[in-house]
Amino acid sequence: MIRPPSTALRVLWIASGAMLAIALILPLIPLAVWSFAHGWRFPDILPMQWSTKAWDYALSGTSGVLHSLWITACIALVTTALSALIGVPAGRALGLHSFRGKGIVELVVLAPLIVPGIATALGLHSVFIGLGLTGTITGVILVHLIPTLPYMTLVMAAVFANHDPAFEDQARSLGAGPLAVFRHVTLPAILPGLLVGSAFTFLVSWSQYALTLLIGSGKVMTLPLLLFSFASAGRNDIAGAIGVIYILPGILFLALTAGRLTGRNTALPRGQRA
Amino acid sequence: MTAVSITGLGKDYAAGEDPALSDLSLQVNSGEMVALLGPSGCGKTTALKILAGLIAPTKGEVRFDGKPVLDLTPDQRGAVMVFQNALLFPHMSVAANVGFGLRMRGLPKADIATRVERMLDAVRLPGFGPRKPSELSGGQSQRIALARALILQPALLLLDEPLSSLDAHLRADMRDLICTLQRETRITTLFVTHDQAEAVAMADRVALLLAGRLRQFDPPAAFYRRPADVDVARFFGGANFVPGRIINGHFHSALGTLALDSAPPDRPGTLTVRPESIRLGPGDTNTVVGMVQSVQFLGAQTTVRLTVAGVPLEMSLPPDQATAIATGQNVTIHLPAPALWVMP
Repeated sequence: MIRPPSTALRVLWIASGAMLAIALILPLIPLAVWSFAHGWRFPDILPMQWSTKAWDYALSGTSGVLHSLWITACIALVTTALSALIGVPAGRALGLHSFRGKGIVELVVLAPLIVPGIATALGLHSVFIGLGLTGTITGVILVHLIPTLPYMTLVMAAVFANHDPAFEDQARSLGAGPLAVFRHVTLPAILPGLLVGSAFTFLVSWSQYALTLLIGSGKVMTLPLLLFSFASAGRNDIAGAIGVIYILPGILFLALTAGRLTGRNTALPRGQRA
Repeated sequence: MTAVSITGLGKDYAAGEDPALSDLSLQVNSGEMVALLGPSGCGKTTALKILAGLIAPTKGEVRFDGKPVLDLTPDQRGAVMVFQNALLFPHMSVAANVGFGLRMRGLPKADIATRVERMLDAVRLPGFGPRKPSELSGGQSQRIALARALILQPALLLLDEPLSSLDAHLRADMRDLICTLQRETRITTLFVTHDQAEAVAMADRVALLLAGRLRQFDPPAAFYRRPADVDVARFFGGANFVPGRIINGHFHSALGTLALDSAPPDRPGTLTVRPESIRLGPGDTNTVVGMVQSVQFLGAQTTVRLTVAGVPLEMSLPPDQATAIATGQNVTIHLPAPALWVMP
């Protein structure tokens, strides 16, 4: 049984790549300009004076930017790891097996993308208060799983739809235990897809504003929160500097994964062609 | 070298996607090569996967050298399966593929390297170690897959349609290689095939499965001379079936009374005789006259279809004997008693 290679992942990647480019790279220009501006008024195309004061402040300990960067990165990394832990087995089940009620399960997996996350979070807020999770990093990580899990699960389902589990049977028959099978056979096969899913997950967590604000109660200061507070205070120069730092991971992921993701096979081929 | 005893092995359909298997019992001798023969979907591969420890049966018992193995994991029981597709791990070199099982056993690297080299020589692909699986042809991939299993010196080697993914001209090579290696190593081997010619050519004994059931388990020749029933005979290309009854060691039917070689007890039955066993001209006994319906020249032999007292019979003749025979003619034929076989 040879299935045609899934192009869904490729299309998803190209589309999201283009969107990332438009959404991230274009706004970078005024941001970068702002971060070096010393006064920039409406009719002027470029600022009157240039300065690195905003950068000096942003990178100093007092602004809290570096601490925020650390917190944001930790939250995004842990969220990604947890998403992978749940999304890989879930995607495997959806991609490899057909079972009763699979359509419903797929809908439930997609639901967080359909229902506005803020609505869910408002409901969760009272539950989290009861559990003492509001205002904690743990609480924020948990609530970040709501929008990230669907991405990871759907990407992994597409990867596993192209995966031939017979390779795992073969490894097992050659004496590999379940862990060794995963490490030596399954993981190398799904790794490119897993990297895509992780990149999505990391970026979705990295860019969360509303959920972090609501569950974090303003105590968990991630970069977008900090950015917003400077922007609303009218400090466009500092907001510009933070903004440049803020978009770095997106561009980094884009650069690192672009070569890997454009249409290369993301799973072992079904069977070995003669 | 392991004797394998399979008793009442079964797998229900509902339990998975694998075809069902009902009540398979086989006693495989140590060092024997056995073919599991049957049409696709008859549960052959399911049986192989159960023996390999990849799926659990719903009932039955499997023993290797008398020891029950169903509770053992694949690596503990020492049965290694080679799949229909070579399934070489694409991200590993050929050497890493062949050495995979030894690596899982934790052997030292240098030890693995020497053994891999020796194994590559044995499957006649010396120096292929550094290559990637994608650089191999279908036949080479299959040989590497075989090497990857044999290097473990398994107690039981399980081959799932080892030749079916190969082009016709590669099959004979692969078949000879498997037979040679099996004879050298005396590893007890079970292989699955849907091709009766393949089963007959390779196996010491053939187990024929039809609809998930074992129908006959015998050396290859028996399937031609002594088929267990009409279905078995048909699967092996048998053509002539005459219903009748055994009375006093003779077979009574529309063909008249035919003498049998042995003296089976009285019972109703169906007589069969291979087309190539029917002789032209009269014999001492069992001589009948038939009318020729068609003569078909097939190169190596000529097939003559005739009716004897309304019963259709088919005979294969060497072409030089068949030149004088024409449609509509009456011919005298002889059904030699040793070639007759009555099935229940």
